[in-house]
Amino acid sequence: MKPLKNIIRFIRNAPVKTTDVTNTRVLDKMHAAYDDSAHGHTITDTGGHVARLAVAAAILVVAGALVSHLARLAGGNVAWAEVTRQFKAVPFFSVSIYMKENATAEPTQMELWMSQDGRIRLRKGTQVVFAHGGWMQAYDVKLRQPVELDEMAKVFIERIGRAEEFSLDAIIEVMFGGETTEVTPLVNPDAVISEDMVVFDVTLPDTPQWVRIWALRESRLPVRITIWDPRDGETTDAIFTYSREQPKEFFDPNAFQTLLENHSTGSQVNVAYAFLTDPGGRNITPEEMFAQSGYHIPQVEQAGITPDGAVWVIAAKGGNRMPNGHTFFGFTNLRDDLGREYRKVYAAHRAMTDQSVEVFVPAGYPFDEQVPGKLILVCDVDNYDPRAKRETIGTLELTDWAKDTPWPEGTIDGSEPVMRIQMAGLHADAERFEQADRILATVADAPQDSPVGRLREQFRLKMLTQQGRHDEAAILVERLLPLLEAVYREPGGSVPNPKQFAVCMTALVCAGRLDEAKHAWRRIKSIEPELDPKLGRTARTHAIEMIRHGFENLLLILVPELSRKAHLTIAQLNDIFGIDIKKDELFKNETFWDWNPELEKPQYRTWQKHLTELGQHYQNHPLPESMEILAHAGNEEYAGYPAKMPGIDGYEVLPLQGTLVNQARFYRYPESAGRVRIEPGIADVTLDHDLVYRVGTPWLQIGESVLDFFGLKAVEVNEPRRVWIARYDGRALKDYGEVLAPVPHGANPTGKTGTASSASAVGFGVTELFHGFMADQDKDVQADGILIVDETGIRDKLSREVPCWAGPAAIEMARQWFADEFGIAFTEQTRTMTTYVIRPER
Amino acid sequence: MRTGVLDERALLAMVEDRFLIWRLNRGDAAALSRVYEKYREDLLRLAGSMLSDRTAAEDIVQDVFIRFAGLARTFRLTGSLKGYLATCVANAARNQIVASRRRETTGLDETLGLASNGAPPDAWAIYSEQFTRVGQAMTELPVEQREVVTLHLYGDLPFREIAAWQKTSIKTVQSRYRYGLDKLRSLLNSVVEE
Repeated sequence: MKPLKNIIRFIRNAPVKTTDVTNTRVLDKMHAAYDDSAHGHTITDTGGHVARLAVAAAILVVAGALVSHLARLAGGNVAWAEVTRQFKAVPFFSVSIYMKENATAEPTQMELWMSQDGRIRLRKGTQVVFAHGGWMQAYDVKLRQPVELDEMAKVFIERIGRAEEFSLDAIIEVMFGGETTEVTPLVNPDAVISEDMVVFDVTLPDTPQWVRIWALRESRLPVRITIWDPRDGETTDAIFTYSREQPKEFFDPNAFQTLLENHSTGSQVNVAYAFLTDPGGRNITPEEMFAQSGYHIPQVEQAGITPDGAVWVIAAKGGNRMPNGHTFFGFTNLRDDLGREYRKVYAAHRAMTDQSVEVFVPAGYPFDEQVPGKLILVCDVDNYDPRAKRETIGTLELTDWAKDTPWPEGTIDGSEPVMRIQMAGLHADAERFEQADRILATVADAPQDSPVGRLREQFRLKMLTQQGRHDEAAILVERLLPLLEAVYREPGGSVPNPKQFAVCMTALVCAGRLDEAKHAWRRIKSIEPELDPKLGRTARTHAIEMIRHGFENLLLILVPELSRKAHLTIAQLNDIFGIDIKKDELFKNETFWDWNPELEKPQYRTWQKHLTELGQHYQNHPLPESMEILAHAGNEEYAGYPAKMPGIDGYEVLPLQGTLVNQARFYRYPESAGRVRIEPGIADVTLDHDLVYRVGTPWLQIGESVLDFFGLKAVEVNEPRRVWIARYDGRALKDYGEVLAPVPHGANPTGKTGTASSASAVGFGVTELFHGFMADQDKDVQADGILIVDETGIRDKLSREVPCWAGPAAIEMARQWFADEFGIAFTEQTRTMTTYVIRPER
Repeated sequence: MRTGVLDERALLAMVEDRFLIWRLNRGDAAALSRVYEKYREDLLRLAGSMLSDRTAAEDIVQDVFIRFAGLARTFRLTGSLKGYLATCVANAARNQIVASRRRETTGLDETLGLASNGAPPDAWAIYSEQFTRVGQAMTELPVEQREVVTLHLYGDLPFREIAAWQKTSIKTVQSRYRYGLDKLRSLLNSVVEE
């Protein structure tokens, strides 16, 4: 039998010819039908985006080639030949193309750069495309990876890429419908408003569309081409820029990919316009801005210490911009010659004047009466990336400041009592309630008369709730809430923010007064703030929108918090706030103690159903003494987690899924890290079982029972192993929070050697770091990697991250990292160590 | 790395179709000739494979071209032009088959045309020996299988679109294609070269 592909080829290629006579006849009929349809015809479509894009592409070709054609047709009344020559002499040009489908449509923009040797770079949306000689590659600046090429961009580049092959006639045919001889470019003197520019109009046959080309008379370079359709305002505009050659990297996709891989996250501007230089010397990207300016320390204009001891600083050039485009303002912290550390209680930045305004207070504020002789302001790079290492730009010493002087009026939106309340809040957050109370007692304002008094009472209420003094809190709510409601109802000139009610709602709920909370919320929601009557319609609409947002934000913070703190069910929360958490888009990413949107996924639901079935099973069957393993009957997919079975107390179920090797590697973990060997053939055993165990059963017993169930056992074998003896040189250890894995994630995929494989705010000690290394070096569970014997004696937390140490390249990297970060050196030895061999029971 | 030269032929054909329609929308009658030249043979093969009545097949293709010309000024192209024309031909062929059955003729497969290997005196299309063989083999297939094979091979219609057109599932269409090709393979095996 012949191969199928031969049969297909035979069918496809079976020739059918046609006679000329009939062809002519059919074509005549087609033309007649086409001509007949012209009566009463209106053009409705241009052929879609692809056509428009290709037209735009043709414009570019026109810029390079059409001009000479126009020159010929124009009879040389303007030196088009010179225009052509000048254009061709330009080593590099870029063009921004804007296309809109009709008069009111939003334009689509593309940016294109071309070099003289035909290299192309194009940006459309988030895609940056490189092309040369029929080859194309697209990258997404947002995803930071190669992506499928945008179809329109592909068509566009295809057309441009073929420019050299295009005869001028072909271009004209594409653009103007084929009647090249009828295209007549004419200087349109009426369209010229300056002698510097010459304007050509091209009238097209059989269509009201027209083309206009602007060129500079002096330089002979075309600067703009427009195609306009007066029927619907469909427009394509191309704006040209010329410059000297760009750096080679600009058109190099490999350089671009390297940049994507290594560049830390940040401004997409840096990526979209990577390697582009402005012919006029202006900055294109934040990175360039940074390269030009670098970091700087703000220049202190005024500084002073209030009678209470608060330090205020007003500085010019308060803003710093990072290479990734992020900005930060002012100083990071303050210390003085008395050794006191300060807390920042106020910070603002004025964009108009680039002034930073900050207030720092010492720990003992406002009771610390010491007077410093010197203030040291520290300016750090305020990187939002928690992985970033702290980088200090510099420090500034002040010896002269306004003494016992409040900050100048109008510079800081707050009084000194407000700063005291802020400081009390910081103490309360650290559960130093006595100090917080002491400070609040210094603020004498009455809540019914003063915003500061109400603010103090809000902080006091928050503290009472924090301390579990719920009855006192509820009594305070009774006094405070009506005052807040009154201010909310009559906010004066400002837009009221519902956020101020958060502390009262929390206090009532935590006090168990759910009905009161529900009524309070309804009352709050029913208040219609009396906005300033002088507000215009737009401003009023805006204010109402801000209030609506305020409520949304409040709910978004308050509702999940009350679920966590007060352990309210979602039914209770729904009742209090009049919401439906499960259906409300607002909470789609939130989790609650009794409900998690993730658990609504089918695999979790099947697990819940399965747990119920297991519970029913054990209603009629005896529970195991300590544990038992049950095989899954069906093919259901579970996203399981250890859980209780409904109606069964004292037992939990753990789904055993995946391969046996993944279970066995944790036999006796962590002490067995790197020391478990699974004999051949066992690794592929697939598990699809439930492990039902009595709560409290030791894990070692569970592990051995699992092995036993599958006819396996663990045998201890003593054998020589390559061992690193870890010793510590005694140096002062860094703050663990500042120690990170040696390779930043950036755009790299997780799991790359040296990147963090896990991270924790509470940090990891030497044991976790060594176990991570041993486990990673023995991924295939063959007990043939390096073992570490810990003789460091370090008990402190060392690092915020555990690096991934998989692969041979990790060995030297790990040595270096442990030495540099902690002063831990390894001495290699061969020692007899115990290996746990998992093998079939014989 | 994925290169942009893949499917270049199809891409350029698509771009060209867009421009042809763009031109036709703007009154450029010359574009009609290009559409006609580009697709007439494929459409004739499509119709000729679906119908064993050569005259009917040619009439259908003519009608489709003329009707297209009448619509061309306002035509909006949403997919492939070839696919559109092929579907028109297939629709007309199917109507022809249904009409013929209603007339209780002796059956299309036994009528004029392919089976006799003879061309009418004023024939538009001149069938090669190879195509005649293909056409004869096609008559052995059930109509549904014949539609799938011809639309896919001559109309370049993806299975998805054929499934929509036949109002059935893609799997059914793929099965029809597979069974149809298997049958054609056994029928054409002796005439196909290695």
